[in-house]
Amino acid sequence: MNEILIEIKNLSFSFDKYIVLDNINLTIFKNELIAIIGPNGGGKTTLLKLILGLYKPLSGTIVKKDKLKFGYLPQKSNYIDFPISVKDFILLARYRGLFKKSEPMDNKKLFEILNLLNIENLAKKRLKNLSGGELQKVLLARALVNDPSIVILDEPTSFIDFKAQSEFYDLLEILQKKMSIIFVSHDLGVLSKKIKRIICLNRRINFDGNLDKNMEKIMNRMYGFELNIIDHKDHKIL
Amino acid sequence: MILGYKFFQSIIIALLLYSMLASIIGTFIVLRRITYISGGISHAAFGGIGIGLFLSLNPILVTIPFTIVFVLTLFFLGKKLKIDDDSTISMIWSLGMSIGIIFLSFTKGYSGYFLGYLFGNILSISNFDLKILFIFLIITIIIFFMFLKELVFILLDAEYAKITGVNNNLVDTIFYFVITLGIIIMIKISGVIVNIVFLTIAPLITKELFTDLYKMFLFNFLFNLILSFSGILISFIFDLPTGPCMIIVSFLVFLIYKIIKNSRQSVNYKSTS
Repeated sequence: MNEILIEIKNLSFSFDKYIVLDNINLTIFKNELIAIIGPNGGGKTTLLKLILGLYKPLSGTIVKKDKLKFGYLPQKSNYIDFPISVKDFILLARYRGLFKKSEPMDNKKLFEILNLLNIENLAKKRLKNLSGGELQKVLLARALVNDPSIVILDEPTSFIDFKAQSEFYDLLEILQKKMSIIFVSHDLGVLSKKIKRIICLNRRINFDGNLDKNMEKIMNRMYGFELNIIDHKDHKIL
Repeated sequence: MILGYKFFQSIIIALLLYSMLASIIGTFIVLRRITYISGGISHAAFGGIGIGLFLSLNPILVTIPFTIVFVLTLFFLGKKLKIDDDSTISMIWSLGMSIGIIFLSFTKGYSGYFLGYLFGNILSISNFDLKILFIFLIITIIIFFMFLKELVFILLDAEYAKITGVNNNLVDTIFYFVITLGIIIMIKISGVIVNIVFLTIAPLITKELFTDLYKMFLFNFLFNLILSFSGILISFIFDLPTGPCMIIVSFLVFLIYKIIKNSRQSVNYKSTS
């Protein structure tokens, strides 16, 4: 069995009286690629933030492996107009606070990642002057810059064009060799990619596993919308 | 020469320190969009001045601890009770001012102090004041640069800072502590109204010009220095009050900058269309 990074047991969470997550049980293993899908308000972002430690569970537990390092790409990315270059912005993610030892801010590592994402040309640009798609790639670079053991991506493909989306899914396969990846997406095209584990979340986990006919029924119920999975030779397209 | 060499020396040192402080604090409050806070803290400080005069102590010695405790307590309460920063600042503003006025009403013969408080009185600065200013300036600058990275990180992305291990609450408390301290020190030199101008005008211009925070600090410093000297010069030549002269000069510079900038943009627009 693979090494366990995070184990979530009986997790519930609510905003005021509105229950957002209800009795979630979830185990995340090393080098796993997980896609979370589900309707708006289904608790996807909340679950990610609970995993990251930004919210405290109302009940239940989240047990994380010691010294787990996170990378994160947030859904909301409205940055103030601050005089900072893309390079310095990304490197901030290696900072650990005044009283802790920060990771070295080496440029070599940074440019490796910029190179991988094909955005070296943005390094000196002012953060505020980026386009939506460029910013999303920069945020992805930031999520990767501190060599995370698990990277959490909240709608990483919402602003990027088709070509970049396709490249993004290829990239996930490369990254998966080094880290676990959890990503949230409204892009149902994810299901056509070679993603082994898909979680359908709508306050509860309605489905957790490989894409199959059973999931089709659950999806239809969850979204109240007719969806069909069509089998292709290599992989499945929804 | 009517005024001595020593007197000018004091003014120059005070202005140097003042401009340095204004450039650092101003940069952050403008970028964080809380310029309003300089008004809030300045008026809270009035409470300390009132108490100091009532107790016949040096106002600055009472004002510094009073304002820091007052401002931090209210921000702490505001966070606990989930009140917006904006509303908290309003409360700090009116409550501090009211405390000051109540204490001043018990103190006879100090109504003249009021104008000095609004516009400052750099020409009456004493050696003792200068020493206090210098000590607190050094403290402010050291703390600010110690936490500079944290401050930038939280300002840009508080959530991410928390994930990587930055203690957001601690850094925020330090931030308010430092700007409260800085702003009180500045009141002694320039008064409440001039303070607001010096904290905001230079950063408003330089934030559009630079991608580097240190360059922004440096140019804000130079900008404030030139502005304050020209304000003083004009007030000497035309025999006008210093503070208002500084404000009018800053405003004119800002206006000219904006006119030039906007006309350039419209030229670019025309040439591309």
